[in-house]
Amino acid sequence: MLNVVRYRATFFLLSLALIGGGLMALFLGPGIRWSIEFTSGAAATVVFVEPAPQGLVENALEIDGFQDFVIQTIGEREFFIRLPVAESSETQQELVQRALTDRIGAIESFGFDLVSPAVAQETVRNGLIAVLIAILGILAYIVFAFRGVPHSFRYGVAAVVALAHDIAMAFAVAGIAVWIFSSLRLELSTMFLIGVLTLLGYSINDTIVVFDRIRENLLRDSNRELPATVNISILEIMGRSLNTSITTALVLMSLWMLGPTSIRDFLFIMLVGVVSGTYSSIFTASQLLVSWEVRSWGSLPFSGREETSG
Amino acid sequence: MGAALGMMGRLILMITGGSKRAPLQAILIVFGLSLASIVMPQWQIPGTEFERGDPDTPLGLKLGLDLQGGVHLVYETIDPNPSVEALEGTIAVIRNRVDAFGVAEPLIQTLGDNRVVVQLPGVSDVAAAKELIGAPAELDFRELTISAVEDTSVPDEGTGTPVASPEADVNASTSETGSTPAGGGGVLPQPVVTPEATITGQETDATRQLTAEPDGTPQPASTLDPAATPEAPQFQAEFVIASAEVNGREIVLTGDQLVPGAAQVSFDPTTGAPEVILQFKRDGARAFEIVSGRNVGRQLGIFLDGVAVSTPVIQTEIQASQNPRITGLSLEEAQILAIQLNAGAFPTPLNRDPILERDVDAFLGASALDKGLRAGLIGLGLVVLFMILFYRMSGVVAAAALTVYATVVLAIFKFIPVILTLSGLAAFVLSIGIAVDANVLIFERMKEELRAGRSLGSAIEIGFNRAWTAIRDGNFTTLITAAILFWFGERLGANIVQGFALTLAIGVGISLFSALFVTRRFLNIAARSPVGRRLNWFIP
Repeated sequence: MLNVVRYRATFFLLSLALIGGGLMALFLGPGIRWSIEFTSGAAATVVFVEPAPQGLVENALEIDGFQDFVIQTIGEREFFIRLPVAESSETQQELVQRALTDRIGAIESFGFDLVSPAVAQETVRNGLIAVLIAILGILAYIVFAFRGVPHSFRYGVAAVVALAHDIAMAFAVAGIAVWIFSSLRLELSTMFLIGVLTLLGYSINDTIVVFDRIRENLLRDSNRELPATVNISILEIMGRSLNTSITTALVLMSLWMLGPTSIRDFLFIMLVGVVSGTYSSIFTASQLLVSWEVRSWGSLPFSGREETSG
Repeated sequence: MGAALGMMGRLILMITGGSKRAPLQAILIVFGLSLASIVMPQWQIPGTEFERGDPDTPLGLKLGLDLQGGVHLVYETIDPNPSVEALEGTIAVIRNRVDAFGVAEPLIQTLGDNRVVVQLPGVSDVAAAKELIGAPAELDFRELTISAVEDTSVPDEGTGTPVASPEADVNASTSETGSTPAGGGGVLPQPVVTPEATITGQETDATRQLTAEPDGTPQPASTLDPAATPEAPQFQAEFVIASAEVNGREIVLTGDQLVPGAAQVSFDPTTGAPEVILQFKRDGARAFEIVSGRNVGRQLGIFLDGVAVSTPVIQTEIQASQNPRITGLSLEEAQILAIQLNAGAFPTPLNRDPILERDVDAFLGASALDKGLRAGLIGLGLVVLFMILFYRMSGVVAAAALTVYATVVLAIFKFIPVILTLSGLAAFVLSIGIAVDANVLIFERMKEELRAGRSLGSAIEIGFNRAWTAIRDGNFTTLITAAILFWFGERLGANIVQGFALTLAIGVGISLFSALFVTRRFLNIAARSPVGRRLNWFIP
């Protein structure tokens, strides 16, 4: 039988390398911007009737005295413009709209967002609180749901580590993706935050399915060692894990390709999350249970070191 | 959330006769009702105010601002710790103004201790909306100071009364002419101020006399007008804020002197004509007595933020014990005036600029909805295709169960009603993913049991029971996340987050129901049908 558990050190290292590299890319590369919801500022989404080059839009705003703005091209007629909050916010929207209409041409639609610093600060704080409370709630539920097996606390901790793994992976892959695909823009927005929170739910759901199989096999044959039980459980559950992530990914990808662009931050996080969540349930959370039990990180392939319990 | 779910579970068990094997009829009834409620754009229970749906939206679902277009504004009060009553009062004022603006289904509510959220669906003129809400609304009463001068300015025909134009503010100097008031087209008389007719009052004689005359016949507006004839000499008229000395104190007649929110529209008991009755506080009433006394026959200027909103003629001195009433207005004019009078009494003022502003173009919203729905449907089609490819007959069962699932969830959205936002759409899709996962878990287990040589019937039972704990635990943790998100959304006033959480919670809850009853029941039916004899249709 395939021994997945024995080489768990490989999986741990693989995850660490990807997360480490990705986070470096995040800080060294173009990175992901904070959206105005977190930093405060103004943002406009404008669709012109006729196609317009980005340079023209930039010029139009510069001539009218706007500064420190960022323009992002969404389609040939559609642009996303970010501006710092002006002294008098009530006219900012009209000024932008007028500048663009006068200097470029008729506008088909114009959306505008404005967030003040006070709100932005709260959003960051509330977001962090929400994630922390969600994690605590999940931890408590798992410890409760697995109270029938020895060391139920370990299951909770392992699941939370897998969660942290998935969130870190989402940021890491985002960092790498925006570096490779220069056209991809990701923003740390409310949608992104919703993505992280949903990912939390998805990842934990997946981990629990795997743990549930381990729990069942443990209770069925209590003579078997934990590493062997985990190994069997992982192999048994692999088919389901793959199929579930494929079906979810199918929906997410069709939304990415055909759906509205405004939810892409969410979709990106979820896509990474689905893959990472499935992976981490099997290769992080379950393997951590084994490492905790046998007090060893496991071995790498070709290291020559054999494990007694594998 | 958990308790509600448990209750729902018990309810379902009750309906299904206490057995976990839901009768097919029950499923079909639920499905049929759900389908009907979705297909019908709008439905209501006759004789009640219960009404759901919307004929103008896809499936009659309620759409959020991001799909419908509109303005989302969050304001903060200037006072960092206003009382709950003051905040509620301010909201009432805003609601009055918004209603006067004519917005369908606005959302105006408090957020935290010192914030107000205003959502105006379908509004595209943001500047006007902000003006309407953010304006501090300073109400004051003004009297005319008239000096006969050789004025050369052109008589302001059409408006007739010395209306201060918004730009001109206090120095609204126009010439007095005797033309008919604006809007009335000559039908309505010049509005007048008289004391309120008190029904129980002893001084009814006096009051009746005064109130008997204003309606019906066009006012001899000439009672006042020195300029009843166009050729009359022109006057330089200027409105200045009225004040009077009461008990040695100078009382300025501003909105502060009114009893907050007391201005109301009523109808003349005899003629049924609309009138606005206002109520001054004690000192204000005394000051108004003096002001009205020295201005009988002249106009009283009611100014909101320096703009004249009404300029009725004072018919008589209005004593402090009487409430002034303004007659000679159309119903609509009376209603607006009452709002404006009440708006002057802002219990706790707001900062003029919103701290959060979101303005979604209706076009962007509609295209997002279109794209989202289409992409969601295509995604679902792919999922069904994949399930049938992988699980064959079970996949077909799953497709049927998912159809029931999606229909019931949408019907619940419509029933509650859940406001559908983009993030809610995402949550709906995700909840379908979770429902699919429940099916996958059951089928995988079934396959194992079938390979172990069990009969189809017992494979279904065992497969189901084994998969159940995983489905339950997985869905419960998702529910925990949804509950926390809901709380987070409330704190933030971000109904985008709340919409997501609510949608997800409903989706997950129904997913449990779907796995527990629908998939299982459908599998059993398939197993007992001729299809059930072909095991290879179940194990690929």
